[in-house]
Amino acid sequence: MKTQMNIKILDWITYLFIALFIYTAASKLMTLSAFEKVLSKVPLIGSLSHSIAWAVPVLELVISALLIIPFTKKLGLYAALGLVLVFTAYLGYIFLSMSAEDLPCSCGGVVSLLSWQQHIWFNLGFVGLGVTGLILYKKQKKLRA
Amino acid sequence: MRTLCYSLAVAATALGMSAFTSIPDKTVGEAKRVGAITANFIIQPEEDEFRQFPIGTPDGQNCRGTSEMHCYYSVKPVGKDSIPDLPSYTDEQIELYLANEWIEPGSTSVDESLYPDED
Repeated sequence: MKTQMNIKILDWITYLFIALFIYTAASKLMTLSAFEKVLSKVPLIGSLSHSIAWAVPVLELVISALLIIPFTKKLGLYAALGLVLVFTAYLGYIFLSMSAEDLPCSCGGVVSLLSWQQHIWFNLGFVGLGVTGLILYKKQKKLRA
Repeated sequence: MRTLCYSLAVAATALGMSAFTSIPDKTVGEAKRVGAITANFIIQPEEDEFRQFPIGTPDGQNCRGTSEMHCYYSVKPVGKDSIPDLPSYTDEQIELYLANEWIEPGSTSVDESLYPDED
């Protein structure tokens, strides 16, 4: 009974990551020039804005594909957690080092409506989901072994 | 197999939602986004107070304040997506928009030399 519940929770965590990454990737690709413009204003990565503007949505789509394909789900969960951690570190850096009001967020779709603080909490929520997903995945594998 | 189908359904829904929320709204002849500036120019009718200039092209007659800033600024296409639709703007906001390259000084707009000296 508990195992079935764990499988369902893991599935829902996977769906949430797929929805998040597909949604934000498509949104970034549809407003690529604005996204690149915002990135160009960010210290450290400004000079790589063109490459990063393409790399981020492509990476999100690749991770979504890894999560969708059952054989690569574990790799997808690790990659998703890693990417969300990188995003959270980036947000933390922006929040601590710059006047966040000076930098418009080009995070993709309705996610950009969040304030910087809300955005950090949003990302931390997904970090928690990623960790939970990996724990549940490992438990599931142990039971099957 | 069922999980795979659900995952693809979630992906398709997310893609559809993204298209729905990310493409700017369009009206006839002019791209607009709700909550963003619609005017092509921002003018400075009072000292250090800037307003949208909705119709036509501004000139020196539209400036009454003394300032070190320009009489009017053209809103670039990227600015139309980024500058909020406000009744007025401060000089700090104008400087920020200039730094972000969302606006540029009007071609016939000059700085403080245009303004009459009120001393």
